[in-house]
Amino acid sequence: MTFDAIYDAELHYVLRSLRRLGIPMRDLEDVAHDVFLIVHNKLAEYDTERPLRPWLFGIAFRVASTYRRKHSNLKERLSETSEGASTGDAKNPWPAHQTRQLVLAALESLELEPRAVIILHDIDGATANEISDTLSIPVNRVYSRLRIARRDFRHAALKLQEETS
Amino acid sequence: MSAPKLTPDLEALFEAERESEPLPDGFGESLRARIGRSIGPGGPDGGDGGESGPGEGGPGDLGPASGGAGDAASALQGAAAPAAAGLGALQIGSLLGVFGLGLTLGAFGHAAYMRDEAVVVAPPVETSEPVAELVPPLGVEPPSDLPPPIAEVEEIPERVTPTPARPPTPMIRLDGRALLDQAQNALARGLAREALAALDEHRRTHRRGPLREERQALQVQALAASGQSQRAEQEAAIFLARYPNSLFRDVVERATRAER
Repeated sequence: MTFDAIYDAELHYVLRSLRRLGIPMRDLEDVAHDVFLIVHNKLAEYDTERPLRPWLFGIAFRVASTYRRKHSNLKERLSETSEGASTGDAKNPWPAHQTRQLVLAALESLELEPRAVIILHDIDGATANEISDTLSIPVNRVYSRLRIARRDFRHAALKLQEETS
Repeated sequence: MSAPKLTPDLEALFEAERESEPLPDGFGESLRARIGRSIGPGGPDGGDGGESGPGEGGPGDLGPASGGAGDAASALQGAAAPAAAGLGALQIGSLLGVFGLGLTLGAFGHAAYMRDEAVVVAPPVETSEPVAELVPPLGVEPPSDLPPPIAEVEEIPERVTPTPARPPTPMIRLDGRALLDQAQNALARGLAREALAALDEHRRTHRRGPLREERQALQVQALAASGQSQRAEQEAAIFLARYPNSLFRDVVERATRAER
């Protein structure tokens, strides 16, 4: 498996994952750059028998964690998320989509670890064991985080719907 | 074990999020070029990256996949490979650069996705003279029963995989954490009776253990989930009186509120 093949096939997935992990559009290229640099440098050690996407997500998750520690101004990130998702203007070249906006904004209300669990399990379809390997947490914690994440996600989504309706 | 199924409303939201959308124009190419600059010769992370030329999978080669170039594995090896002239300072620098980068990025290698204990060794060193001629003469004739001198360096495998290490002895927790985990998992799956059984077992074996606060909080949740609301409220009252500042306070209150 070559780096180029991974880049071509999975760039979109990595970018979407970073957005879901709360990376704003304006920093997306910088953070994706860091992710792929690590992918490049760790590729020789990657076990090709294992599924690729959880491995990529694990790297994206760690880079996003570092990013969020550096940019701890939640308000700033939140405002960017809602603004970017709603308008679809030149600032945010992604096509506007109200449902996606709602999902991203509701995800933004979750802590990073439960957020990663719900993304991997409910959006990407990873198994609990894969998530456990990806995030280096016990399987039991995967289930408890998933339960909490779903509950909080639903709560946030309902609240957002009420606010916008 | 599996997680409960998604409710239709959440499933609909996530389905929309899974839909593919096109990348912004030029985003992929611009990022590709930037990565190429970072890992290419003279880039910030990889030392000088050796001397592989274009098309050899060198570190700076990030051409389209269809061209067959830019294999990252060979790029890394290229950065560490000594050139035919021998191991000069340049090559040692490259090796150290790769080693340092590995240390810097070590935190990003989640172990489950890494090959087992793989050790990367440098490729064979090519010399213009047989190894035997490089050994300084001792002035003593070697005994005739020695094997003939080595004429050529045999091919050295690129990757050496040592025999797997013995699996570590599992750590035995003395606080009964496993039983509480079992109870929590059962609760997550909606198996309240199974959770109560695990909690009873924990109470029997670790009555005054350090996790009794957590056990009692789980007990309230399990009782509430099994429909024993009156007992859940009694246990909740005892818990809140005993641990008024507990971190589990919210969980306990929510469990009993949900039952009402």
